[in-house]
This record gives sequence, structure tokens and C-alpha cells, in this order.
Amino acid sequence: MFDHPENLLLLTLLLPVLGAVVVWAMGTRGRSAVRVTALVFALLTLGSAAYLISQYPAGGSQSFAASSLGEVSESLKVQFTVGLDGLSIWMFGLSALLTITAILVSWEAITDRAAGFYALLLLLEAGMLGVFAARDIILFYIFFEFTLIPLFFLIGIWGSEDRRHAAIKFFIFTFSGSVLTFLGLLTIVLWDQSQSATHELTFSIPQLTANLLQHPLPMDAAHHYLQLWVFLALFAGFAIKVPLFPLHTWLPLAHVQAPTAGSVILAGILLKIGTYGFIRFNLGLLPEASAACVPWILWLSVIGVVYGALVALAQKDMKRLIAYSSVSHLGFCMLGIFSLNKLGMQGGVLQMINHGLSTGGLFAVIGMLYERYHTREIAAFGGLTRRLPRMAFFMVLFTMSSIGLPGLNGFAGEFLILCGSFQRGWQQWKDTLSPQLLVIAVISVSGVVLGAWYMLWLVQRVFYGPLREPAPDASHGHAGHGHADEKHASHATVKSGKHDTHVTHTAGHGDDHGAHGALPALPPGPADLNLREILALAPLVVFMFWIGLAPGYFLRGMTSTIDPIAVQAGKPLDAAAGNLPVGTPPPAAKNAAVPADVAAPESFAVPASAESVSSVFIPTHNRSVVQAATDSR
Amino acid sequence: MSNHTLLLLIPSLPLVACLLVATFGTVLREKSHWPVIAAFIGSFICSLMLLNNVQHAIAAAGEHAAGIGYEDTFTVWTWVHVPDAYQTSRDVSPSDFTVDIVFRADPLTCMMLAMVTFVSSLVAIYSAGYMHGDPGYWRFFAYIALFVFSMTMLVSVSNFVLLYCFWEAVGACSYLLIGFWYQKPAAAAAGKKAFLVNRVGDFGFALGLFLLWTTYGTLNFHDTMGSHGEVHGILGQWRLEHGAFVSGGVGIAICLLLLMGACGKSAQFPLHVWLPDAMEGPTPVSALIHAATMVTAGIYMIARCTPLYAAAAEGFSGFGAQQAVAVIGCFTALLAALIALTQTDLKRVMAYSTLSQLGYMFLSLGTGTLLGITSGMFHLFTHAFFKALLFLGCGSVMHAMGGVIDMRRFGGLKKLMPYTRWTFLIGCLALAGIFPFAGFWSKDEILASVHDKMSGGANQSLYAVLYYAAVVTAGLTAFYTFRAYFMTFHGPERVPEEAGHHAHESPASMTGPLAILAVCALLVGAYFGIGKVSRFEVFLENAPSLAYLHHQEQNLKTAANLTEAEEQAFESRRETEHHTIAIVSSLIALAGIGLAAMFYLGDRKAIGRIANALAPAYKLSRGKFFIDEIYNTLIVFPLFLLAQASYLFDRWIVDGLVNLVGAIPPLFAGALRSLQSGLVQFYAMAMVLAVLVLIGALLMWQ
Amino acid sequence: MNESALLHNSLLIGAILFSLGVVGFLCRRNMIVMFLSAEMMLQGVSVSLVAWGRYHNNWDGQSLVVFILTVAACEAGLALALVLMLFHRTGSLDIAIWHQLREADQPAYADAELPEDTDAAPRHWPKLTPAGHEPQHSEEEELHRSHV
Repeated sequence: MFDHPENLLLLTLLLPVLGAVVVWAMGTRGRSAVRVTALVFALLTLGSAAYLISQYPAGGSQSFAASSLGEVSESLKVQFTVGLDGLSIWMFGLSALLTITAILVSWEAITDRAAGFYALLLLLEAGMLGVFAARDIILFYIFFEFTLIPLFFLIGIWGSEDRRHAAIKFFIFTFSGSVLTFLGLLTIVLWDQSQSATHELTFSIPQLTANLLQHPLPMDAAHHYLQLWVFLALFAGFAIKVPLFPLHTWLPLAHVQAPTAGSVILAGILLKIGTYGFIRFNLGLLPEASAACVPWILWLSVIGVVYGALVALAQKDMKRLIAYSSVSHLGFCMLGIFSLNKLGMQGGVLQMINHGLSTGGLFAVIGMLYERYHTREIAAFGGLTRRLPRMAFFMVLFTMSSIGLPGLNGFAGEFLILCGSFQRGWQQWKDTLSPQLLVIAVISVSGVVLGAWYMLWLVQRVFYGPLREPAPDASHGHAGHGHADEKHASHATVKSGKHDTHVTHTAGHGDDHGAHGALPALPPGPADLNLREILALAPLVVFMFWIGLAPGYFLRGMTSTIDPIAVQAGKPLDAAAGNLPVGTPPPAAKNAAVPADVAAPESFAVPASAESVSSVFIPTHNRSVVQAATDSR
Repeated sequence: MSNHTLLLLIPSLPLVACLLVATFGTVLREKSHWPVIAAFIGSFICSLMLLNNVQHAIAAAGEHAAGIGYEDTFTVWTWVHVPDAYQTSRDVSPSDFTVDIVFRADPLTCMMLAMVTFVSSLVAIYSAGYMHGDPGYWRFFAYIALFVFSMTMLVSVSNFVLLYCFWEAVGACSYLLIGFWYQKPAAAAAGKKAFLVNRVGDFGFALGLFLLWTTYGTLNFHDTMGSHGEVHGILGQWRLEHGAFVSGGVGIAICLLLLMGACGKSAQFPLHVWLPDAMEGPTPVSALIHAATMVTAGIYMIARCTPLYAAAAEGFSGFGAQQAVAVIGCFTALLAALIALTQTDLKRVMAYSTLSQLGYMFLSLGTGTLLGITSGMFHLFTHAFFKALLFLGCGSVMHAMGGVIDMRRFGGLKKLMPYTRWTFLIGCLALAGIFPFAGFWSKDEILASVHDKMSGGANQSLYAVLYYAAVVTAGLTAFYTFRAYFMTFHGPERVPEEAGHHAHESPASMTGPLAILAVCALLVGAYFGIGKVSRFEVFLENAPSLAYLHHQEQNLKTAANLTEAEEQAFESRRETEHHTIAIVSSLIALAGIGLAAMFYLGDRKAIGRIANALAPAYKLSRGKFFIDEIYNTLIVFPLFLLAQASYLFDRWIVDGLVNLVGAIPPLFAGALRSLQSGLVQFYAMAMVLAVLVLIGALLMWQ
Repeated sequence: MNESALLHNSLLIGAILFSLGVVGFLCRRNMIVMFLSAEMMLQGVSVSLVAWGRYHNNWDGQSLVVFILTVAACEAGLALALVLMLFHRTGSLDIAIWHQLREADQPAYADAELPEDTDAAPRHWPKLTPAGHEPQHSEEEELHRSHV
């Protein structure tokens, strides 16, 4: 069976489901048995996924480990078809990896109904793996929606105070968008059926991608810009999931209220399903509408980048801060993806992985902090490095990864994204004299500065300075403890109130020459990270360095899938601008003919310099530009 | 050993030491410095061997090297490779986006490597004494080793992306080391500030890289083979031979953006604010990172990019990128010198002096002549020795004074700390530019190179202004340097209480490096700088970027078609000028020292009177021209307000809209809720009525 | 009597039974009575089914009725058990007591306040003579008996 990757893939998908059932059935056995079983199943899944990925050909593959379990429905032709390609393979692996972290960080934190928790977590894993492996459009949608359900319960049952509200908002917000997505997907399928020679219905994604190249959805006034409408329908679901700028408000709430494991998975994987959907469906199936929407989406992304960073700067709650930083980072992803060139898109996909590692790690660390002090308020902490040096190490490392320090993963993605978006902007400026995209690219670079600011400031406030910590384990829920504490205040040295809890233990060195100033003895308090917690974070660190030092390895696998999408989707932009499509060597003999063709005014009114391409939907005549450019080859 | 082995060994030794100390730090404890010092010295020896190799190779190449210089590159692995990523113009093949981990050996790199590893070794030895007893002893050495790894990589890579990578990496090490005593709020804040201000510079640097990429279609320095044939690296042999550098708006934009990065790293106005704050870090860090090595990265980068700047020299009405470099440098030099006049914190005086000297180097690079650039690099080289010496001297004083660094609280230490005093004096003389100390030679060359630009060319008057400002700065430098010296070591002996039993000469591990550096500060200038064309220039002009300039100047000379006699006359006039400059600048420096002696050697009442008389100017200088305050009011505070406003906007407007949409369905539902009374019979009634209505409708229908 | 008249009469009976059931179900608040009314509706339907079965001359209607009877028996068992449970809870058979399933913010059902009986005129209730005594005889009544 190990010789057949397709079997291995099915096994990988099946294992967490099996695990969920077993864990659920062990409900009465007590917490420790349950969590060990859950971990074993997650490890098995990871092992099987890792082995699968190790078999992935270095040059990339379009249908790695693809298999089909036959038609679910005879008349509908919906098939249980799974397989991996360059776009999904790393996210697939990351899902398996982050589940381990999620289970390990929940080890002690989840005491109530543990069996249900771990069963749901494993189900969630199955859903995530399924989303990335699905090669059937309906199957994808089923998994896409399925991931909501376990997370809904994880947040709603094991979350913080306001968990119900958060869970419902999260669910309804994402669900309302994805209903439209479903409509869009169906439209695509039906259009394909109506146009294909045999009128055969197909739901297979690769099949659809190939077919739509032959007969794309119409993008002209006669058909009411159908492609654009479908694009917008898909956009609704994916943009909420990402989340793109004005649609992001469910995210901070969900993150703050979710249990640590939920936050890790949510930030690490679930958001990426949105960007994944954009690449797979919007760009892959609707390239012209994508090209037409580039300026709009890039503006939203760059606003998300800067705005997310600014809002993060104003946060008082650590988790909320990281949640807004996710908005900012996902803005970068979208920026890269919708640069519609190879650099940007590869960077965007790499950034999807990077963000999963670094933000997943950050959430895990903050969860560990919360477990020790039961508060996430930044103002309650100070100088924790002294108390928790190992935690500080990981925190600084993840911060550095998050703000894109070279040598760690964040940099590779960010640099490619910014380079790609700048390249797109420059190209537009050179060809049409419209500086719009260039301005976007320049603004987005400032997100890197702001990103460093809020993250380093967080580290400074929480981990540096004189030691200041909330009274250890004063009260579980730190809200509403007024009465009880007032009664005890008379005979308690440490008052337990929201703001007067913090006991200043030491005033620091006072002068430069702290080297010789003996530090006051450390009062007893929570212990530093233990082996289990380090093991939860260590895999992330390994991958951070790996991606940071050799991103080429990870990019090579995805090139064969992503580059054609980038080239295909970028074509209208390149062509409209009068450039040859990138990736084609210039015709040596007909060199002079190409510009003449493109500039011929009779066949089509090129909006080249007079009117910015970006501000109009690319109308039909521009498809003839594509044609002209292709023909001239 | 071959160049390649050496190039690999130089950064990897510190890296291995870093990993070793980081892993076994808790075991090694007070022995943590041994692997680090050994690695640094090993790297230094390797650097010398590399230097030797390169020198031999140049000698062997002889005239061949004269045109395009000498370089030797070697690729370790490919970091990123994206084939056919961009087509810069229609008539070339699309370029691959390739970032290789490539090392290079050329005179510029060798010189930087030797300097960095030498100073690092001494600072590491010094730190073993200075940091003794600190709870974070091993952490300190791990950071320092990581820094030296990054710095050696920074100067030896052959690619802009990697340059940027290690540029940020040294910044991160600097962040960690400034914030080394993390419990001190000021140190933590200073670390963050340093990182952020550098990030602002890197904002420009990154954009510069993107522009380079879209313009040149590669980010390598050297030529490589791409999938469509040879790719001409930005500073590769092909371009150097053909002079194919982009000028005009794009060229200037590239240079200015790179300059922005350089301003961040090398702490030039307006991004200089982080360096004085960075003095919160341990003093050896200040000596190594914030005086000798990291802050010179910007100068290294601009020197490396000389051809780009040369191409962008002719900008708008003659004011191009080079002039911008010169103006920024000169302005910073003057500004920092003025601030340094009144500071009372010994380390801060040195920090501003560093700013000022870095400004000098920028000024020198801004002349755009071969003499200017080599003298800028020469000043970088000499400055590394004497400024490291001065900082280590400060550290020694601080060590003895129990951490007190305010010059008003101690004085007259010459008896107490004789070694420190004498070595410090040598450093001061070098910094002030007194013959024959190191600073004299390099500063003199800089002034000479600026003076050359005064005598002709498009920006004659501009350079004249810069020249006089530089001369004034030289005087100020001498004054504040000796002010610090006199205040610390002369006058009545005063020791603060904090000193306790520490108030004595520092241990040998600290005075040893001081002595070595003092010898260097005394000799390196004369050794490398003496002669009509200095030894330093002869070596450095074989670096490809500088060889290009050399070649161009030769061409110009040929084009001018001077006769032998005319040339002789020109040269001799120039030489006389240079000698005059040397004398004038020395006199001015001596005058500065004299003034300092007058005010600070005797009773210090006169200076108080002057300060009172010039109260506004004094306050301005004392308050560092209030640049920090201006930034806080104009940038930081508004950004905070914007952040808060954004948050409120997010909370009430964006989320409010969402909640509003969410509130619509319940609005309609409210009307129907009253039907759900919970009474069985009411439901039954409704059912019956509905059935009746349906039947009625059915009958009507028919 | 021909077949169609039989059908009509039977259907009429079924309809009357059903309507009585409906009215009873809607108007009575005693759970047992409501249950009986519901059963009555069921029987009304059964009657019409049987009638139709006869009219079409097949067994479909009647077999269905047999099913209905069976189900109704089961249902009776269950329903009465439930009613019993509810009675145990409150000591009342009033259906209006059970309105917990209403929307959260709706007011609970309350019986309209009937005006207090303020009729001043004394009422004369018939009196029964206790067992073992001779009842009193009213002459007048005996005189005016309508029928003897």
C-alpha cells in the first residue's frame, strides 16, 4: 500500500475520522487516555501525510496520488475524487502538522468533556485535509463547509466568556458568504455543461479548468458580464474566509473567544482555505474577471495590510492583536496572489504556509501564557523573560518570523510578494502610465514597518522591562470577581482586582552597568515551558528555519501548478498593456510585427494610455488582444 | 587554502561558535567566551589569508585586473529560483528570478572582512572581562557570534537580496544586543526603536531592490548563466566593461532608495535617531556594532554600488544621487558634532561622534571620485579602530565607575586608570585628526577629495559649502573629543559612590585589547595612507565597482588630452593643495583641542558663562535639536491616534455595519414571534383555519 | 337504499364526527377530553374510509382502518401516559398550563379574569334528602306534574 500514494492519501484522510470515532467512543475513559489516543491518531496522520509528501515528485505534479472512489450519485456525476498538486501539497502537510500542535497545547487546558473536544479536533483535521485534497468541485464545497462545524462547536463549547456570540457570528458570517460561492460554483459547472460538445456534466476541477480555457465564461455586455458575476459570487465566500478588509470583523472575535487549539487551527489553516479557493477557482477558472478585478482586490488587500497593522497597534488583548496581525498578513497573501505574476503568486502561496507557522506558533505561545495567568491583557504583564525564558525565546523567534526576518520563513514569502506586486505595478506604469498599482505596491511595503512595530512593541511590553505579572492563578475568570475580593482585601496582601493585581517585583537595573547588579531573588510563580509544550512548538521552529533557509525547495514543488495559473490569469493584464505574455520568449523574426499588431487601432480600441486598464472591466475586445498576442507567436 | 574554503570558513566559524554557545550555554557558563574568541580569531586569520590570496591574484592578473577589477565568486546553493519571472523590455528574454547563496572575494570584501573579524576578536576578548559575572554571559556571546556571522556574510555575499537579508540580520542582532539587559525599560525601548528606524530605511532599500529587479532583471552583483543565456549582473563584468548602467529618473530613484536604506543602517539624518539610544546596550556592543562594523554597512553598500551612483550623478540640474549622499553626509556630520558639544553622557558623546564620522564617510562617497570613495572606505577602516578603542575606553571607565557614565559625576581619573587614560588619549588624537594618528590620514584625504570637486564641475559651489562645513566639523570634533577627555581624566579626582570597590584600573583582558587598538590607531593610518597614492587606494581600486570608476577617470584623463607638462603641473598643484588642506585641517583641529583645554583644563566657569550667553543655542544642542521630540509629535503620536481611530472605526463602523445587517432578520422575525404563544390549542386553531383557507382556495380555484 | 346514498350518509356521519372532534379539541381544555376529541376525529375519518372502501368495492379502506385502530390504540396508551405524567406534575388537567414552548420574550398565557359573582339574589339549589329519610313532598308540585 505504501507503493501507491493514492491509497496513502485515502488513508491519510480516513485516519483522523477513524480517530475521531475512537476518541468519541472512549468518552468515559477519562482525559489522559483520550488525549493520548487523539495524539496517536494525529501522529499517524502526520506520519502518513509526511510519507506521502516525501513521495511527491521534485518537479511537481498536477495529479499526485489522485484517485476516485466512483460516483456518489449516478445522475449528478459528483465523485469522491481526491489528489494533490503543487498548490495544495504544503497546505495539506501543514494541516497535519498544526493538528499536533493543537492537541499538545490543549493537553492541560481542556478539562471539560475532553473526548468531545479531541474528537471534534480530529474531525476538523479531516475536513482540512479534505479541502486541500478534493479534486471535485462539490466535494471541495462539502469539505469547505464541513470545516465550519467542528470549529463552531470548539469555539461555542470550549471558548471564553463570550463564546456563544463569537461562534454564531463566525458561523453565520462565513456561511452566508459561502452560500453565494456555492451558487457561483454551480453556475460554472452548468455553463461548462451547456458549452461542451457532449453536454456532459462534470464536477472535476482539473477537467473544468481545462474546459474553461476552451470556452470561458462570457465577459461581455451581451451576457451581462456573467464571468464577473460568478467571480463576485465566489469572492463573497472566499473573501470572508481570508478575510479581506471590510469583511474581517468575525476574525478577532472568533480568535479571542476560541480555545488555543481553535485559534491555532483557525489562523493556521482555515483562513488559507480562502486564499486557496481564490487561486484554485477564481484565478484558475475565471482568469479574465480576475484580471479585471485586480485593482479593486489589490486596494482591499493593501488597505487590509495597513489597516490591520494599525488596528493591531491599538490592541490591549494579545490574542486580538495577533488576530488583527492575521488580517494584515493575509492582506499580503492576497496582494501577492493578485499580482498575477509568478513571483507574487509563489510568494503568496509560500506566505500562506509561513503565516500558518508563525501565527499558529504565536497563538500557541499566548495560549500557554493564558494557561498560566488566566489573562491575556498586555498591560498585566512585563519582563516575563525573567520568569519564562524559554517561552520568551519562542515568542521572540515567532515574532521575528512574523515580521519577516531573513533566515526565517516570513521573509521569503514577503519579499516575493512585494517584489511581485511591485513588478506588476511597474509594468502597468511603464505600459499605461497609470501609477495605481505601483502606489499600492509602495504602500504595502510600509506594512512591513508597521508589522515590526506592533509585534516588537508587544514583545517589549510583555517580555521586557521589570518583572510584572498578575497574581499567579488569582481567579479563573478574571471578570466579575468584585465582591469576593473586597471581602478578603482586609487580610490579603495581594489584592485581586483587574488593575491592582500586578505586583512589581523588581525595578530592574537602573543603570547601564546591570552586569554586576545582582538581581533580586525570583519570587515563586508559574514554571517555564515543559517538554510537552516545547514539543508542541519545536516542529514549527524547524519548518521556519527550513523555509527560511531553503525556500527554493518548497517553491520548486509548487511551480508547475502555480505558474500556469499565474501566466494564464496575468495574460489579460499583460496583453492589455501591450506586453507579451510573460513566459514566452520573444519572437526573433517577427519582433517588429508584434507591437504593430498590438497597436493596430482598427481591430480594437486599446485603452492603453488614455484610460487606465484597471478602472474598466476588460471588455471583449481585449480578449482579441490576448488572441492577437497568442497568434503572433 | 582556496578562496572558496576561506570564504566559507570565515562566517561559519562564528556561526558554529554561536550554535555551540547557544546549545551548551548553561553548561559552559563562565567559559562561554572561549569558543567565540577562538572562532573570531580563526576567522581573522582566514580573512588575512584571503586578503593575501586576493593580493597575489591581483598582482598575477596585473594589467588585466586594471580595467574591471578582481572578483572571485562561488555559489553554495540556490535560495529561490523562479524561471522566466519578468521581462524587462520587449527585446530581451524574460529573466529568471534567481537568488543564489553566493560568496565573493574582492578587495572591498577582503578589507571589510579583515577589519570586522579583527575588531570582533578584540571586542570579544574585552567582553570576557567586561561581562564577567553577568547572568546572561553565555547569551551575550551567542548573540555576538551571531552578529559576526551576519556581518561577515553581509560583506561577502554577491547578491542584493542576500545583502538585504544580512542587512536585516545584523539589525536583528543589534536589536537583541541593545535589549540585552531586557529588564531595563530604556534598553528594551531602544532596541525596538533601533529595529523600527532601520525598518524605515529598509522600506526604501526594499523598494530600491524591486526597482533594480524590474530595471536590470537580476539582483546578482556578478554575471551568471540564466536559462536564456548569460545574465548580466548589476555590478558584473559585462556591465562594468560596457558601462551599461541605468541613468535618469529611474537611476536616481534606485540610488535614492538605496541611500534611504543606507541612512537607516548607518544612522544618517533623518534616520539617525536610533544610534544614540542604542548606547543602552552593553558597551562592547556599542564598540563593535554601533561604531566599528554594523553602522558602516551603509557605506559599504554605497561604495559597492558606486557605478550605479556614478550613472545617476547627473540628475536634475546637476544635482544627482551622489550630491544627495554628500549633502546628507555633511549635514549629519555637522549636526551630530554640534549635538556632541554639550552632551554629558560619555557614551552619547561617542555615539554622536560616530554619527558625525559616518557623515564624513558619506560626504566622501558623495564626491563620486575614486579618491573620494577610497578615502571614505579608508576613514571607515581607521575609524573602526579608533572608535572601537574609544568605546572600549568608555566601557573601561564605566566598569570602574560602577556603571555611571555621566561625565559630571566623575573626573580626574588619570591616576586611577593610567592604561585607560593613555589609550583613550590616543583614540582622541586619532579622532581629532592629529598627525600622525590614523584619523589624520583618512580625514585629510576626505577633505582633499571634497576640495577637488570645488575646483570644477557642475556642483562647484555646492561642494564648496560642503567643504567648509566639513572643515568646521573637524574643528568641532577636536573640541568635543577633548572636552570629553579632559572632563573624564583631568581636573580634581572624583568618583561616584556606585563605583565602590570597582574604582581601579580594569583587568588585563580589558586593557590588552585597548593597547592593541591604540597601537592600531597610531599606526594604521600612516601605514596604509602614506604616499601620493595610498597603499589602501592601490589595493581597493581593484574592487570591480571601484575599478570601473578608476577606468572611467583614466578615460577622462585621456580624453582631456593633456600634455605631459600640463599634467605634471596639474598634479603638482593638486598636491600642494592637498598639503595645504592637511595643514589647515590640522591647525583647526589643534585649535579645537586648545579651546577644549582652555575651557575644561582649568576651572570650568568660563564655559558656564558661554552657555548662559548662548542659552538658546546651548539648549538646542543639549536637546539634540529636539529631533526625537519632533518625530514623536509629527509621526509617532499621529500614528497612534490613527491606530486608535482605526480601532474605533473597526469596532463601531465596520463591525457595526455587520451587526446592523445581522439585526435586520430579527426585525422581521419580531412581528411573527407573537404567534408563538406556546398554547397547544392556539396552534391547533391556526392549523384548522389554515386548512379551511386552503380548502376554500381550492374550491375557488376550481 | 342504493350504494351512493349509503356512501353519502356514511360520509355525513364521518364529517359530523370529525367536526365534533375538531370543535371539542379546540374548545375543551381538559387534556383527556381533548384526547377523546382527537380520537373522535380519527373515527370520523375511519368511517369515511370504510364508506369509500365499500363504495369502491375493495378492502383498501377497511384495511387502512384496521391500521388506524391499531395505531390509535398505541397512541391512546402513550397519550394517556403522558397526560398522567403531566397531571402528576401540576395536579391539573388544564392544557393551558403548558406553554413553555412559546418564544422567549412572549407573555405567558393567563386566563381572563372573570368578574366575581356579585348576584345578590340567593340561589336556590335543589336539596337532596340524606339517605334513610323520607323526602319532603311538595303538594303544589305534585299537583302540577306534567306527566304522571
